[in-house]
Amino acid sequence: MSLLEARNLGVGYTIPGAGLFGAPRHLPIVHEVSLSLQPGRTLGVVGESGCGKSTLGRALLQLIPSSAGQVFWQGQDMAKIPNLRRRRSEMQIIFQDPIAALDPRMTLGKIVSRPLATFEPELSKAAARARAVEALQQVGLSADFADRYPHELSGGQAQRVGIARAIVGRPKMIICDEPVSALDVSIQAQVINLLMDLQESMGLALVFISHNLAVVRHISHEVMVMCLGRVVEKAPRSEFYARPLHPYSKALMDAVPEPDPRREKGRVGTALPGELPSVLNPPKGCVFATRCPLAAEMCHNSRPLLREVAPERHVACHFVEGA
Amino acid sequence: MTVDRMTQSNPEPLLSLRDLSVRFRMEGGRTVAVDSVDLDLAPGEVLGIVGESGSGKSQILYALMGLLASNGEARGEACFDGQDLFTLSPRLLDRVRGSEISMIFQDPMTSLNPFMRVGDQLAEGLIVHQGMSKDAAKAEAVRMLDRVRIPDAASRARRYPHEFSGGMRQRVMIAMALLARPKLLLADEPTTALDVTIQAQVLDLMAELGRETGTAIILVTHDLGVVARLCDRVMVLYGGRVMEEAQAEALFDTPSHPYTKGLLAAMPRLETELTPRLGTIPGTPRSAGREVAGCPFVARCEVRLPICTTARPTLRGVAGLEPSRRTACHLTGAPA
Repeated sequence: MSLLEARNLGVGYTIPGAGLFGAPRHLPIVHEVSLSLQPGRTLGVVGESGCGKSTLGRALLQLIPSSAGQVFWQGQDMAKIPNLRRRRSEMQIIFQDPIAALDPRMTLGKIVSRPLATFEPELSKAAARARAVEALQQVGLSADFADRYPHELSGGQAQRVGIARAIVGRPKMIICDEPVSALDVSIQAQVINLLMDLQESMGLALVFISHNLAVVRHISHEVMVMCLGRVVEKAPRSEFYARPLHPYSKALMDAVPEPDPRREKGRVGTALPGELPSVLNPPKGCVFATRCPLAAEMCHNSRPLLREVAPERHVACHFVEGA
Repeated sequence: MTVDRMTQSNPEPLLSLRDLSVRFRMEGGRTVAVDSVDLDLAPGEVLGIVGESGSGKSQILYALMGLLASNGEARGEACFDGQDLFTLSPRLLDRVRGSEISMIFQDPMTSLNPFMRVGDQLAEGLIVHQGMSKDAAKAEAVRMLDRVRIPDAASRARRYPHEFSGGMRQRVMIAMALLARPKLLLADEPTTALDVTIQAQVLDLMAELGRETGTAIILVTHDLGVVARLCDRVMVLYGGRVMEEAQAEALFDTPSHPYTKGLLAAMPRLETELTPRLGTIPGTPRSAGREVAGCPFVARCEVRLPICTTARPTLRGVAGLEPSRRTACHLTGAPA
């Protein structure tokens, strides 16, 4: 049984209607996402701004309501789990801006132990603090950090505190929403390594949401590429990076600048033209059709379905043959 | 290529910085953000300045443009095309900025006037700096927008910045910066706020325009990948000091400073063999602070020697590496 499973998950927001008196309308952001995650594994979710990756992350925890489909936690429909709040100790989330995620008026010890008040209300104050210190140490911060305040932290330390707060309830899964995007390169590597170490020692499953394909490659077992709210490709890590199948995945891969001048100098002038289409006005056919070098008429008219073209490899493109 | 330009076509560097320091007066003392940086830039050369937060990389550009915060002060010499920018009268400096040196910033939205049509903003510089007529300037603005691949430039020129996407705004900034045909373009993290596919477009555009107009570029970035795509030469900055300087290919092939090595090892990549864990540099980046006696990287350096805390390593050649390499490290920077 999967730890987490989503079936045809759809999420949308209500936005104001056109003009002063227009009726509010529903704006779909995430469409028909299905996925499953096993204990101890990492699913990387990658895409550009507006692709719905963060919205998906929140919907997987049912922090925002879904408009279609279901999410199952250990086989149980999350919408029907009684007292979901307490079960949240099992599923946690960390965010991009680590400092904004911490209450500036609380000591780090309080911040980290706070979730325990919900998850394990029977715990004494002293025991909760001991757990917080233990969690801080697990993320590489010494016990004396428990008495410090968020403004004393660097970005990397703040993200460690965010992780400590996420693991204090001994979760089975953490959703990581762009956790290293705001960090310097040397700190980014420390945090990625930390997440991988914790995954190993605690058997954590991770959903790693990022715009950075290289980071996702390093940490993920499976990769899912999203574009305008839809999954366009899903594949095991090594197959995906050896040979991305969807033209959008290829375009993303080509666009990432690598620290290798020989590769990069050859890529000058190869950028994909065009803008990302607006979420407010998505294309009718394939989400990538407006920018795709292969697009034919059918791509503008009919939306390709996500289908399995090789074992465990799913692609939504009219032109990709079985591999 | 760069060396050729320097020695054959134009022996004079376009810009040369000598002993550039940037200090800020703070409560409780002075903070040093940039510490004795020397730099020579050839006409048409593309130089990358790489560093993490607090390395002082952006402050170098701000100092050149006279844009330091009010408690900041630049010292040293900044010789641009035969004149020292730091001793120019405000009027003369104004003439140089905006016509011979242009700058683009990370966030294009805050650099554009939200109440002014994009075309008018572009034309303004031409009217003010080059005395063009309004109509001629507007026509030139449209031509430039088209040049940076803004679709339907003539009608786009009549729109306001908020009607442009982030990538288009940055292209507008590039158009604005290049309108005056500057000799030097300063770019401060110009693609950091953009999605990768849009970043690739903007980098392409900068490479192409730099080549065509012969504009030299100083690109400040934290992203070694961006440097690899665009730059001829790279300068690695840490704690306000230059740690290493080399031609781009050489730097990535054989980094010699422990900090450069650490940075490269910490970068996750798309194409190299996967390692179980990324390389790391312990500790956190040093932010601007008091002057240090030794090497600013010493606290994080895994190969430090006792001398590293007491004596400042000078930037010098490295035995066994190409002659243009400069490294500031007691351990590796043995004279060539």
